[in-house]
Amino acid sequence: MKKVLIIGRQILKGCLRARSLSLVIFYFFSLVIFMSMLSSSDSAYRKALIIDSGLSLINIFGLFLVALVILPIYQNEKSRHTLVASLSFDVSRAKYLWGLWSGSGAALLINYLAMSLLLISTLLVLGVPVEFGIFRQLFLNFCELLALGSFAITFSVFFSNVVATMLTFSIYLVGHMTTSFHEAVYEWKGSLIGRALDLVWAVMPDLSLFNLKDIVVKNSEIPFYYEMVALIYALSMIFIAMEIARYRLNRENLM
Amino acid sequence: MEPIIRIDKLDYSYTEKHKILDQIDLEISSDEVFVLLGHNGAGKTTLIRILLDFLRGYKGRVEIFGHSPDSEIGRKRIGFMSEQPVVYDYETVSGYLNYFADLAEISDKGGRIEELLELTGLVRHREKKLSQYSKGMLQRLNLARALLNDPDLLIMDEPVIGLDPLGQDLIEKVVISRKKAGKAVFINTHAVSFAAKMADRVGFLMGGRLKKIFNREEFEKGTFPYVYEISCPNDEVYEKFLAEFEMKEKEELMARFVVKDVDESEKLLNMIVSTSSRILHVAANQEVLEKAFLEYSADLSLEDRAR
Repeated sequence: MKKVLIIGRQILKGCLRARSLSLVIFYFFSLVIFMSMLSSSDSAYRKALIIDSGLSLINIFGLFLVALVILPIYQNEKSRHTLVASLSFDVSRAKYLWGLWSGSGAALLINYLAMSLLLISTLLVLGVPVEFGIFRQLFLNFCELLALGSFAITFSVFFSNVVATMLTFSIYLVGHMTTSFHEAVYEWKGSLIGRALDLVWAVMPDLSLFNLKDIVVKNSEIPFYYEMVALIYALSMIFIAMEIARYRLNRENLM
Repeated sequence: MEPIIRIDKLDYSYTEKHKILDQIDLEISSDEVFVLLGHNGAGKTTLIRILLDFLRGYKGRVEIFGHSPDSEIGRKRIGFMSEQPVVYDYETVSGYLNYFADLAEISDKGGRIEELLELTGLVRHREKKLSQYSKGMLQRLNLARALLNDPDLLIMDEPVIGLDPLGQDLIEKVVISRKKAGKAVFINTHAVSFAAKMADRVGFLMGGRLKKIFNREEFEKGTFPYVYEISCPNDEVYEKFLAEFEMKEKEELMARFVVKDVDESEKLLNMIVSTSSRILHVAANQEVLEKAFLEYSADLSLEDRAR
């Protein structure tokens, strides 16, 4: 465990020195521009619009963080030979991977907290009431990004950064299409396509579980145990993704 | 003495057609400097990668300190100086060594880092970002990293490539001090003169096969002819020597004389000592390794040489 944390600390340093700060700054400017446009509206849905777009914006920039900061770590570690240098000490490949995950997760957390703080401050400045539901959605959103980050690491162990990015975005897109999948599967039921869609649906993570924006915006009730269930779901996805990555890395020849 | 590296019938290939390592048998004891000589692409680095568990899926038996390469117990006692620099370019030397010292679980981390910075001459540059380092400095840092855990086995992959004479001198000093401390060093190189200087034993890896292993006695003491390299500002000295010995070549102040046996060697050394002129430099070059290198590579196909 100690070595996982040592590697994590080093990875965190690298992530924070990568593009994360510029992404947070870019997020802040986007937030300000977007919010000032929406706040001038006198629509009855002004509050809902502001909250909805604020939460969407943080989700999109979180996705950028995963793609631009977390995803390239493994290949960077490989190309600058720090991966093999670390493994030449008595560190197992599994520990190294978990170190990679913990470091990138910590970097994601720090940046995400900064972005959340900016969002909350902006909402307060605009006079939008910050209800508890917003924090719950922010938490769920973070769980989703953490799980996506694990998929990104796993894909980067298998493929180049470009392919890994495409696959991570695909997971994100398909993961949010669960309802459409439901309908498609129902429509093609029994046919070959139906069975294929059934398989995709069964294998793909259901990321819509982490999206409660509608409920938050409408200020509806969310069961109190919801976050716990979502967290367990995210942790299981992380575990599965990292186990697949470990399996692959254990068979990889490191040059 | 129990060997610390034991390799039996090791085979390795990246593709089914082309064997990189072919039936390698090798044992290395705990206090020797073993140099693996070979042409580019002979399989030297592949062997090191297997020893360090970077490459898996080999056939045969490989043990380090009595454990398989994937055991963390064996790797605890190894230091690895890679050919390529290992760089966190945003780090300073201190930050970099601190990270690896933590990984190696060094108890007196500060003291050990200080000692190694002193040894490698990087004290003045400790707060510099690694992105500002030259290749030579990065190699010194590489060496410092490899020595952090005071390893029982130091593995060096092409340690003198790209180093200036001062850097090479540092590497030589480190190898000698490891040997004095009773620790083993395993070096991969294609620098024959470096191997001749440093090694207790030299193995020739050519086209994936370990062709021959020479003991120091074999390539140093008992094998003639020797070539003595002498530098002297006075040409008359050379004329005296020329009357007794065959001159191989002469360049400005330096001449090379061939001695055929022990008697001739003694005679030449006595003449050097008794000459009244100033002798600037004397060195004996054993050509055994160089000859063997060329001889073994002559058996290789063009494709093997170029791989």
